Amino acid sequence: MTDTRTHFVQAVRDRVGEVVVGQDVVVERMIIALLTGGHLLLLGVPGTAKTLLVNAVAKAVDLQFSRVQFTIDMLPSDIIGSELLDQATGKFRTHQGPVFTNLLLADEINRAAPKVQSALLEAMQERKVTIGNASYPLPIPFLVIATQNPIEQAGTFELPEAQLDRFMLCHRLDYPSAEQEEEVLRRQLKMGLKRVEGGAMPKTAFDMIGGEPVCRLPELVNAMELVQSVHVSEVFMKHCVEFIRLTRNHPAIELGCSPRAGLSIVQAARARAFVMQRDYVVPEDLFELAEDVVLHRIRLSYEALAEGRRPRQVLEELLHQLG
Amino acid sequence: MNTRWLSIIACTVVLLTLPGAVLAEGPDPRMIGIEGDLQLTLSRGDYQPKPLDDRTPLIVRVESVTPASGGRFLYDFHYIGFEPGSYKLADYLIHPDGTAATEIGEVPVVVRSILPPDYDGALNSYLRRPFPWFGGYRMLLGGLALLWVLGLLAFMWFGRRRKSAVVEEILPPPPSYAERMRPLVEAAAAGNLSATGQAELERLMTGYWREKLALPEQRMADALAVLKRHPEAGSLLRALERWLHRPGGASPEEVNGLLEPYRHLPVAAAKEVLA
Repeated sequence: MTDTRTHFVQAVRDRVGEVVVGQDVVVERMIIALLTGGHLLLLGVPGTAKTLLVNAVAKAVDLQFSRVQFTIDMLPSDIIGSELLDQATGKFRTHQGPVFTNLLLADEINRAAPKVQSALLEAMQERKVTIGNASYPLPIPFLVIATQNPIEQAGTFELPEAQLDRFMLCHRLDYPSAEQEEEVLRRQLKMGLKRVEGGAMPKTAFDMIGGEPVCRLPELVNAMELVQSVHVSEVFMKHCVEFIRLTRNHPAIELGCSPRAGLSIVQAARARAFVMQRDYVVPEDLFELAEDVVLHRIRLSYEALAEGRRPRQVLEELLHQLG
Repeated sequence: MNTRWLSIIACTVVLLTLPGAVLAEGPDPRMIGIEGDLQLTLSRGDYQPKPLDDRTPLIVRVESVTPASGGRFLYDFHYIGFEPGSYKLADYLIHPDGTAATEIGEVPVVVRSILPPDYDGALNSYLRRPFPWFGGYRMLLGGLALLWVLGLLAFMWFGRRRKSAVVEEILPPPPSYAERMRPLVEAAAAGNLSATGQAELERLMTGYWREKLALPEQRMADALAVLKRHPEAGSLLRALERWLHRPGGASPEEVNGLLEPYRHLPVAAAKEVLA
């Protein structure tokens, strides 16, 4: 059991580490998403390696991978697929869109119109897609990793609460430290040129992603099975329920967490315990994951916002009440 | 009695005949440029206004001629004067053959001047008068400002927060961590602490050590990491995790050993930490 755990987590970390400097917490959150089949939303300013990270993880694990760059003129059929008239046979055939994959990278998801965002709802929650009159199950495992730029809001559509709730985790990426940025520059200097058919151009980090996966699907499934066996105590569940209920009763919070948030905490805590090589979850898992599970699910009241309070401050108040 | 009635009748006759006398004397004087009316009963019904030039001091217009009793005619005249003075109506009426209507007699039409009689035609000089301090616009604004201030003061006076008896009374200090932990620790030592109580105990112990090590403002995840590195708090929290979260838990002896230091925790010391 320990070998599987150590091998899977460390292999993915090492492979990603070859391409991306730092961002250990993001890699951990992506592994948690992979192990639980939960969807992950990454918030970060441009240039913080969001897309590169997802690419690196997808190629480290032998998963089908699709990337969709969301734009304002996109249609739902561009994501889920459509029925096409086959002129040779004179019959309609179903064209399956990029959502039919194991790992879907929805890049800049808030640039798409609400109808396209809504098209993802069924896929994210029910793991199936309806095209025409027929429903099609999505491949298993299936998870969406979406990225979003929190700064540039012109021409974007804010994700509604219902859709945000579908994301098990929402992680906010920080800039790398000074040492990490220096390492990024050093690596870039060593990359050299990529030569293709007589032409050449400087290599990027995307060219450095290794071709062979370090883990196969059976190993992932095995790890997922181990995650499901991680022990969750009654006391931990009491902590989770108390925490979720606190979000609903805090005077500064207008919209608290749904029961889905509690489920997400327990699932994510199990996966984190697996990553930390434990057979059981502890309160530390709750405190570490609280921000990513809860922050995108709560909405502060108008009065609290007018007083200059921020969701992160209110969340810390709740956590301090808890411990 | 008869004399009295005769006097009343005489007065009534005088009053009834007074308008005819007034008409005979002409209408009330009018100012220059102001149109006047004149009703007159004449013996002929064919009087016409006399043709006038543009220098005439008075214009007379026949509004209507209606037959009256006794073969006479009731005339409605309108006139307008351009120069002050007393004019004879007969000078401004003619017969259809153009002869003067001298038989009308002395019916004066008086036009008065707007200016005083001794006015020499000099223009009045403009005298700038200061805006009055009281009255008018300033008074209105001052009144409104006063009303606003009085309203504000009344609002502040009646809306002031009254000191309630609840605020004045001295509230008992909140129970310290030690006081809150003690019953839970005793129950745990006796082996009958529920899962809810265990969760509460774990929160209180974490809070106790967080306060004791002065980490209240730190991010909770970071504070927990600091606590786990602390020799005393770290060993306690790890033991708590093993007891409460690890499958199999801990034996009663281990639980008793774990909780023993907290069974006799001095309340005063804990309160000092909280203060």
